[in-house]
Amino acid sequence: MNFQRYLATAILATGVLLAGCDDNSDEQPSIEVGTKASVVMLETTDLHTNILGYDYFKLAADPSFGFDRVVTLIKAARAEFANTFLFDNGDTIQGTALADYQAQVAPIGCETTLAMYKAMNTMNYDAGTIGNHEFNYGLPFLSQVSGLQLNVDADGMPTKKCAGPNFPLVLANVNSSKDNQPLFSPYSLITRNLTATDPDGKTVTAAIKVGVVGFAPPPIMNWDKRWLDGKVYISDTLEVAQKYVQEMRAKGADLVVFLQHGGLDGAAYSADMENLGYYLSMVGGVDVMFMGHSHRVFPNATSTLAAFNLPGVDKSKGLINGVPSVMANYWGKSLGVIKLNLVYGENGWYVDKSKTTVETRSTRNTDGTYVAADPAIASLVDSEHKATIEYVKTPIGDTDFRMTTYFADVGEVGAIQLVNQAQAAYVKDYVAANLPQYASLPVLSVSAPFKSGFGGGSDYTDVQQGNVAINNAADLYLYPNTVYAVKVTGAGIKNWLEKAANRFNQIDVTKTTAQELVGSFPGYNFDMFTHTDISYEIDVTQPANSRIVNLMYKGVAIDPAAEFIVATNNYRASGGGGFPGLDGSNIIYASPDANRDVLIAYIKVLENIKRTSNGADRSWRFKKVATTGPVIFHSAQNVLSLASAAGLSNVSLYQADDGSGKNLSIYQIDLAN
Amino acid sequence: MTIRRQYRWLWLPAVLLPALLVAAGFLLGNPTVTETESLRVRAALGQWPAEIRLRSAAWLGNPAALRAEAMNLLASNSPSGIAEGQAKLRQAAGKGDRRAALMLGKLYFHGANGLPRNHALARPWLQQAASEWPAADYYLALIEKNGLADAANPERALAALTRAANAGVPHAQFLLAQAYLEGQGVVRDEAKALQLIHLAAEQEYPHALQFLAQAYARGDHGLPRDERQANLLFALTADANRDSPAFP
Repeated sequence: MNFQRYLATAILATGVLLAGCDDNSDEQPSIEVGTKASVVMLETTDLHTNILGYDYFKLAADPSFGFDRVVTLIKAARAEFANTFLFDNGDTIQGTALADYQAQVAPIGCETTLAMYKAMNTMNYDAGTIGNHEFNYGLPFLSQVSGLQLNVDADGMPTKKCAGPNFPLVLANVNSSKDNQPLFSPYSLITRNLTATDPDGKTVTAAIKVGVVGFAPPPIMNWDKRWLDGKVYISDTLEVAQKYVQEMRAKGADLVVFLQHGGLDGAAYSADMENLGYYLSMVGGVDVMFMGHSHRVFPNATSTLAAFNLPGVDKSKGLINGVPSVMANYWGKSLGVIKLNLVYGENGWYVDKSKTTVETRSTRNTDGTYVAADPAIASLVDSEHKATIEYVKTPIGDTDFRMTTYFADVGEVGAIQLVNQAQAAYVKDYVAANLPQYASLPVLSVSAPFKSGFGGGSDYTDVQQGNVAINNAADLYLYPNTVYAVKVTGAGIKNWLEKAANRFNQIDVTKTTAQELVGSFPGYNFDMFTHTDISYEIDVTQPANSRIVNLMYKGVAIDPAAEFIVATNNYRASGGGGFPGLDGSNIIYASPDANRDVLIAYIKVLENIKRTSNGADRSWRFKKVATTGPVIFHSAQNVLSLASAAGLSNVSLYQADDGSGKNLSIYQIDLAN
Repeated sequence: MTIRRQYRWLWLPAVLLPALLVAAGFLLGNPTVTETESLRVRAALGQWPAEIRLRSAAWLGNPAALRAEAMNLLASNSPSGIAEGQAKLRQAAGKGDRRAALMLGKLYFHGANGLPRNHALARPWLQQAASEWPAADYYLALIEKNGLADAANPERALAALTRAANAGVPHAQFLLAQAYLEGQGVVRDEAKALQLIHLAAEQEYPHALQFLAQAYARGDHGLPRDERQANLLFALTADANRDSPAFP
């Protein structure tokens, strides 16, 4: 072969080889410089398995949240904009009784798609990331429902790929200890044909590649230590962010999107910090950052939150160090919308930053009404929804007496003692197992009537005799607190009870007119013991802080210096209610377990709740005193029989209707008896 | 003899290795705060280049590097590791690393990682840390308020609590709010209390969220009675209870 022919062949061969190097060349015609396209990126975040707007504890619909309403917003955005991408930013599969039902009560099988993902699968998500709550049910469950076979050593890992979301889940900063590789795909590259406009104004199709990478908050290693310790570990998030940005760009990503399940924090950088958004925005090469986890709305022009007012944060335009960023609330209440105007230049697509817009769209209209829920979602998950309602109504035990707080202000303990028993048992077990230095201290408990009629005759705890279900437990323990235990002295206990006794007005024994027993001090701060080991009297004729008399422990006047452990809740122990000495300084156990869950677990073991053992131990009485005039208080109508059933023989009806229009009667207490 | 000749050369690595570490430290320069964190994480994962870099910086007395090594050691779960970690933490704090001082103060406050609960020992470390780490003022406030180190000093407690609250520590904002609600050490001021509660609630501090939830449920503290708002706030409280740290 002569040289010319050789050269021609070489050039031809090179041309063929080079042509093959260009990924786009055999997919799309090349894009004309000057072509423009508008790309809208949408975010849902922190859906927490609120597929429908429904409160499973109250067993009532609530239109102020729910995936079925944000779906309406997504569809509207897709009708409005030609090119949309939809992402979910994590904390998706945990958060309601429906989630618990599918994960723990009646765990779904491999072939069943999780209801939340089933609903999301109808909406063509482009990608999602993993938030901290994805780990709450453990790695085997997460592996199963995400339709992936995560490479970790744990009991119960699925043996095959199971049904899951029809969109990729990406996570870059959590690695398997088994193979030192990211647990999930760190990123995904999405190729899309955009509807664009060429320089002549003609509508054309133009391809774009979007790289999306996800990050979970590093404190998962603490929050879900029991599932994750030794099995996964966190990378230095900033380092992997840089690494994967470079990798995605090298693979032709025109745009890079961060799905950060976290918010903003301007504190000095720490690899363990929870909210990495501020530092991630500085990584470089990022076009869009989605945020979540903190359940807030960003941008928010009027926010006073320090994190939203950091240098470099534009809380009106939604820019964090120049990066368009959005945080779309939680539970489907809002949709994050970031609109980018793209121009195709010499070196590919670039963003015309002057035209970028960032906003959140709420399912709540300005007039206070809500957008319509998409009915298709409700039909889709109807059986799971109904099964959850049945679950919440399933008996976990039964009670031989009606447990109420109608007369808790005057000595009824029926709805409080069981809570105290559950709390004390729980703390006692923990101390015995983990805090040997306190093993010799007595463990007591206090609780309060959370519902004591402020809202009217139905604003009381009232669990009927008979079956007790989970929603009844919610009635017995209204607030979402966690169990804390504090170490206090006898003097501290007295101060605690004195504060609680502010519930009552000071009674003047000489007054002939009726005096209200109960003041404006909230009933949920009326902490009381309900144990035969502790007894005390409340003298309501005394001014506040001098009312607790005859405070005894095991029949003997309490030693002010003696030490006790008292189970309570995190709010009380951290200063809630302003109780003296309860300010966080004497917490010996800060449990992650909710008081309500501790109560439910206790009932499940106890099974049969009886008044004799769980509802008749009064620790306190009013100090007996004769009054000239009546001492009165308000409670629900037609419940006097419950007072005598509770052993309160000094209560009588004073007036059938108190005239407030709140279905309340006035009762009288005879303090002399 | 043969053996002695072979051993004769052991002086070389024995001198070279530390010299190399020191040289590496000098050549590479002091790592920045962010770099130190990155090194710490990678060293904890056993990546030896990061270990060497961190070790060389620590050898040269870089307080942040010392503190980073201390953190890894304290997380090691071995008694000797923890003891060494405490020592390095003290070194770092002694060289002026205020974050290390805060860590030491907190360890003594709670009694953790091998250190006994000792508020008198905690206090000087917290005082050192306070100019840079507002959380230290929160702990100092608790010590002074409850007389945990010596006699209670309500004025100093209030000053420290106010500093921490003003610097944005939500735990302090909540306690200061309680003080204004009760008129404890300050003139009773419900509006100021609510302002502090809102600041803490914005940071998802669960007790501030619960306070507001309860207030909206009843229409207390100047807020309108709003059951829906109360329900939403209780739901936020539930999440925050789980995710929020009990202490700053």
